Amino acid sequence: MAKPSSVAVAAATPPTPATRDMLPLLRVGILVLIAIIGFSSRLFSVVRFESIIHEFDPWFNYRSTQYMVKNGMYSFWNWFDERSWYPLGRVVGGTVYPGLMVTATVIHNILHGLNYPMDIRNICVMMAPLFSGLTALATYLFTSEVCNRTAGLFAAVFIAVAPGYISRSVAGSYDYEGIAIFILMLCFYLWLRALRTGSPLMAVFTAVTYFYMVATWGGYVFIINLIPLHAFVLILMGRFSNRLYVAYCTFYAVGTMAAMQIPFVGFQPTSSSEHMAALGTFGMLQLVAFAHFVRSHLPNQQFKQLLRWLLVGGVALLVGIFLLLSATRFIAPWTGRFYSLWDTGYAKANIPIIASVSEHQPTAWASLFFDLQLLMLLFPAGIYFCFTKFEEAQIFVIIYSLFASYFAGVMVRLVLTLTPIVCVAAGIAMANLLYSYGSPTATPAKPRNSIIQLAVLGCLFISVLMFMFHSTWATSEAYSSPSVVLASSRPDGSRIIIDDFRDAYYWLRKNTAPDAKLMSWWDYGYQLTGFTNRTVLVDNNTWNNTHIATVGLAMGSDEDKAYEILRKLDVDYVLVVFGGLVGYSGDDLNKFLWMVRIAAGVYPDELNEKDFYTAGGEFRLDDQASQKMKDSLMYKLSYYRFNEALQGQGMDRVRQSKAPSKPIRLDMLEEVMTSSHWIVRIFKLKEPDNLGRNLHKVATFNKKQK
Amino acid sequence: MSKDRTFPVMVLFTAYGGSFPCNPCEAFAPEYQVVADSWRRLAPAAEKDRLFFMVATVENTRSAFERLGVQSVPVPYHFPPNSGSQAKGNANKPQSVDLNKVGLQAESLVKFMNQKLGYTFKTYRPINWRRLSIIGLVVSFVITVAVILLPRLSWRSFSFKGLGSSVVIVVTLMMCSGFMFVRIKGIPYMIAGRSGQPEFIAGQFQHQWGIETQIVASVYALCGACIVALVHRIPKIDNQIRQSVTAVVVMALFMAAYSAMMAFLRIKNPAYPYRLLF
Amino acid sequence: MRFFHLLLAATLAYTSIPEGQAKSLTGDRALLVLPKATEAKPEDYGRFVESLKSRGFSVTFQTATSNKLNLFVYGERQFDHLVLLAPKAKRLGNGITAKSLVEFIDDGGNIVMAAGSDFGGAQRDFAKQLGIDFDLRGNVAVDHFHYLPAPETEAGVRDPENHTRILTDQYTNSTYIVGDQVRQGGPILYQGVGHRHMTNSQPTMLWSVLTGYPTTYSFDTSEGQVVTSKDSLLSGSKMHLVSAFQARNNARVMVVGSTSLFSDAFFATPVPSSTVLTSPKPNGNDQFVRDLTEWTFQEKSVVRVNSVSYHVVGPNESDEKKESNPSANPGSFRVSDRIKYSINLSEYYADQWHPAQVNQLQFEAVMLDPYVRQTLEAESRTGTAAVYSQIIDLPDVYGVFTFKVDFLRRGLSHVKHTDVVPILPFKHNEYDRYLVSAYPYYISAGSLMVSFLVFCGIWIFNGDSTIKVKKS
Repeated sequence: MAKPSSVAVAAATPPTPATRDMLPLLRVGILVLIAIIGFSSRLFSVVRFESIIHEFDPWFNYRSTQYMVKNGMYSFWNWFDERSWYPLGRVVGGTVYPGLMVTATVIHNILHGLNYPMDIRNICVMMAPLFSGLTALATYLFTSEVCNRTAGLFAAVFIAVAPGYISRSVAGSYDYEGIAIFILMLCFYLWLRALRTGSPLMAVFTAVTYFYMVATWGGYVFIINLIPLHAFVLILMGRFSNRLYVAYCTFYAVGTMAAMQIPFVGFQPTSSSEHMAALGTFGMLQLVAFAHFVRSHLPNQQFKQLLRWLLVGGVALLVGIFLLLSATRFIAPWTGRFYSLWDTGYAKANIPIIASVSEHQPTAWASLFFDLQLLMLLFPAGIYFCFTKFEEAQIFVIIYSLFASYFAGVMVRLVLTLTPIVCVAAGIAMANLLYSYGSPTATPAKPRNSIIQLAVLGCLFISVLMFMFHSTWATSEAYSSPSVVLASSRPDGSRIIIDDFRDAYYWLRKNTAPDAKLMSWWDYGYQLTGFTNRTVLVDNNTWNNTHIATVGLAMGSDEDKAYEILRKLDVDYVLVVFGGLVGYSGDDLNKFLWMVRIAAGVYPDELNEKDFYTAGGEFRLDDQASQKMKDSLMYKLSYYRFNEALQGQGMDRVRQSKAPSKPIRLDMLEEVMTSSHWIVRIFKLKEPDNLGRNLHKVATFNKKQK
Repeated sequence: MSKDRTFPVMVLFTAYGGSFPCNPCEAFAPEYQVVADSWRRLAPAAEKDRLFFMVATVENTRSAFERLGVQSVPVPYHFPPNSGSQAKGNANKPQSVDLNKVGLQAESLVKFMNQKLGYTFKTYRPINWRRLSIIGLVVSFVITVAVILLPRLSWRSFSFKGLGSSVVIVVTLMMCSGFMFVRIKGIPYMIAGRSGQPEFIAGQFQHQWGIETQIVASVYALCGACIVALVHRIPKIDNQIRQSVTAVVVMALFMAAYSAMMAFLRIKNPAYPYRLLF
Repeated sequence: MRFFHLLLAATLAYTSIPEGQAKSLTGDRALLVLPKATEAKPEDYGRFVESLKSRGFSVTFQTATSNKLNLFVYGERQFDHLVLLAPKAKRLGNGITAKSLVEFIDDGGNIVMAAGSDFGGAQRDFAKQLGIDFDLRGNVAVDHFHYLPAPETEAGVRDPENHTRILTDQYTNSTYIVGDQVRQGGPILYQGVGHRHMTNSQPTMLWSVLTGYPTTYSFDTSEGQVVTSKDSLLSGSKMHLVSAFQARNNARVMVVGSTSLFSDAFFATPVPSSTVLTSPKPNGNDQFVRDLTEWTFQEKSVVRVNSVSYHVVGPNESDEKKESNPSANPGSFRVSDRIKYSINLSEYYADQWHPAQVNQLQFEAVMLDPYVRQTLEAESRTGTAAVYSQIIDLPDVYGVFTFKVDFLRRGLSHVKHTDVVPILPFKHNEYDRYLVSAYPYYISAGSLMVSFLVFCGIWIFNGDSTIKVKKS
């Protein structure tokens, strides 16, 4: 692992024997401390709330982990989930990246094998913090490979506390990204090492790590494009070597075959456009290797001619084949999410379901700075230092920075992939600064005045301290809320816990038939199945747009129409989230226009977004709302009895508008549960009348007879 | 619009210049021209002379705006014939299309018209010779330069450290400063604030103006330059006093930039608790 | 589904009742509601009551206005069957409203309701909820061609030749209610009102049992009024005299426009035979009323599902499930499975269960839309039950399917059985192996392995010689 030289540093001062003996111990100690910091700074939510799974997607991962622990690998592979996407069902085994669940199950089984019983939930909750410690280690290794160990330690401590990574890896956030970043960094480290040593063994390790990544996260595409790109750039720069050939070919062949073992990926590595760059680079490497072989047998001049024509012909041929295959649709067209990365207007125009997710929005600078803070200021210097050295590893860092920053700019979600490399670059910058100003002995590359050294070091210390404060604050305030449990503060600063979601889910679990079907907007699907163990219509795995649109149509239609749709879908309960009473802005009415848009995309004759605005084109929900809006099921369910409960003074605190003053009449559904802060409202679909009457008539009759 | 009109009419309600500045209107005007042109070229022969394209601006036809209740411009209206064989009785209310939703391209209007008129005609775009020739010029220039220069440059002598590093760093910083945010969302460069003063930093956490990209990117670049200077330049200064002064100034600049970034963040999120120098 | 369970529970509870007990499947507590004693006494309906008692019902009498008349006590239904013979009553019992009657039905009670010309209040409202609209007050059914002349002997109650005691034998086709004995017997003697079915009534739930002849019409005879064209005249087959209603929970209601239909007096009145010369013959009222109440009180035309079974047939038939529990239906199927679906049905009539005889019994496999719809064929029958079955090819689509038999015939109870059965895709080890079309791939993989070994061998054994050559 020892690198002969470090970036921009000509020669390190030889340490005295005593310190040399101490150094490894010190390093290990520091790394352990870093891992502990990384682990413990992610525990805010566990300390503050309880050991609970956060957010939405993790609930599915948790549920499937439970399934896997209970039924084993093979039944998970063949798991057909009847509880979601009713009545279509979902083939979970074939539509999921199982790496996370397998990891948790393995940990669980090992612990049980050691007779240390630990609840699977706690394993899932602690998974991300645990792997953050490992990420710090992997980042240390990676940075040591690129620069030196000092930089490695800095990078490790940065990644351990960087809010950009913490945002996805707090305790309870049991999601793919939590472990994927560790695998990402490990894979890149192994790749650089394989490249440096030219060892097939290391390349196989890289491929195995890549396989783990494929099994874990859809973001593996990042690896399978970045490594080929690195190889490609190296070839272009004339840095082809046998080490590169061995490393890349071994990695690609083993990695691709391994990747195809994941059912969800299947034959994509041979057919989808996302993987074509890797294949192309593989082919090109063979050509270049062949060319090198030919060169060793041919005079120089002849060879150059040959090479030129071969290159031109080869590239033209490849491009031609690729275009032909793309045009004939033999190679899968770009998938929607991937496409929206390049053509930024695409999602907005064509796939409302992708555009509707806030994670897929482009990133404003403030959120990036919030996530990276000081690191962002060190980032450009780190890249610059990579240029001054400019060997294989440094080129990799540069390419990584360039692409990851583009992706992070396009999608908020992908700030996550940028974070590690920013930490690495910042670590390199810090190491260089420290080398110039930190050592007590004078070298030619150092200023002679020790006061200057102290001043610079002092400023750096303050900056890093500030960064630590910021990170802790950001973690505590912004990223440690489980979103199932909401926390808000009273005017006097004390904390109130709003536990409506769990109340409602628990109610459903205890009060509904085991085969009851629940309808809600897809955001709550995973949580609903996870918490209540009931069947849901749509969930966060948005694989069937039509089904989601049908739910949107039901929400946007009037009561009669909606009733018809709900009966057809065998719905028993409808759940809506209403934030008007406490000002919870992520409620269904705020998402309502997206529901209408998605529904109108599939049923253009049934719904029209325009009808939901007032004549003046405004989105209003008070008495001036458009008729269609007032008739819609979502509106009725949200505001049902709201104004009456507040003695006619109802005020929607999300929209800052008055609640509809006329009592809302609901004939075909009945309110069965409203949580204490009114955030979750559950309605039961009435059975068709026993006497065959229209339910409006029944309601009128019952009212009159009373 | 007379009572007995046997032919359909397309009217574009819009506003040019004058008292109502309207960027989308300006942008849509040539597209409308394209639609009319496409009709003239590609419509069925029998129908060609039966559709009229008109433009109504706010300045000249205020009464028409009021009568139809037009709230936003530009908006194309389709008036079906209200007498003669093709009149559709009750269905002859004028109908509009929301350009904000379908997009400001000629294609979207043509799609709308095809629905309403019942014929299909395609959009015909004349080849934009000017743009094409400019692209051609640029491409040929690049090729020429490459052909002339490339043989004289070997890969190794090519200065990646200079050109490459600056290109990479500039692009990276732009991406990290919300350049794509501004581009994708079509956000204005900057706007006037409440008191008429220009507002440089938008007051929302999830939002920003175009100019912020430049401000923030330059601050990042400044910080990078400071660190590079501290590592590479300052140790090489021979004069100890000059060295000290430069080091202090550069470090102070860095700290100031750091503080400035935090100050910007406080503008966006007043709850942000930390500050360094100011 | 729920209704089916209710019914099944009810039927199971009463099938084992010994002889002499009620023959109704849903209980033996019958309540007869009569008008004030001045208008009618229980003895007026002696034969009708006797018939009920002989069929095992315990009959309770109550006056319509009595405060003791309660359908529910503490939410518990007090009677299983209700006969309302008090059309004039404005008030029913202890605050019984149309809503209470609806609740009685919703709770599974059966009602026979007789109407009269001044029919009103809760009962009229209740009839409206069923989709039955009685004609204006004062109007009665009149037929100037088919009527029973007023008896000369009786003084005081002499019919002033209004021809309101009409005769009819216009039964509807369904034999589930009115049996052959009635159809072949004498006509029905009827004096009362007619009603129409409202346009929004459910034709599967409400249907006519008896109408008048085309010459029958509805008219106010009291003041000798004249028919004007303005009146929406109710007549002929549009004018229903007796209608049957079956709710979703299979509770039954019989609405009759006449109280005298049930009376001893009418039972005993002979009607002129069609051949005028012969002596008068008895009318069909006795048996007709018996048929009506037998149907209403669930003594016949009740079909139940005894069992439903389905399993894979053919080569894919798996043995493991059979071993564990042969009678249990599998919880899931695989796409394109060939299954056999059988349903075991019994029909209740003549005091016991018989094999149900139905035709066009259809099976559906539904996931949003029906993917399969096939008619089940009669397969076998035992003394009390018949099995209908069919071989079905499941669709090549996976999802959560509902296996549904939904059999709805006028007069028969609603047969509905649903099972939610997921149809699964192939498991990873269930795909076919060693396909012919895969052999090129096997060969290529095998040959690659062999050639790799061969190549290595050649490389190893020739390696030394090349070095030697170079050295030399």
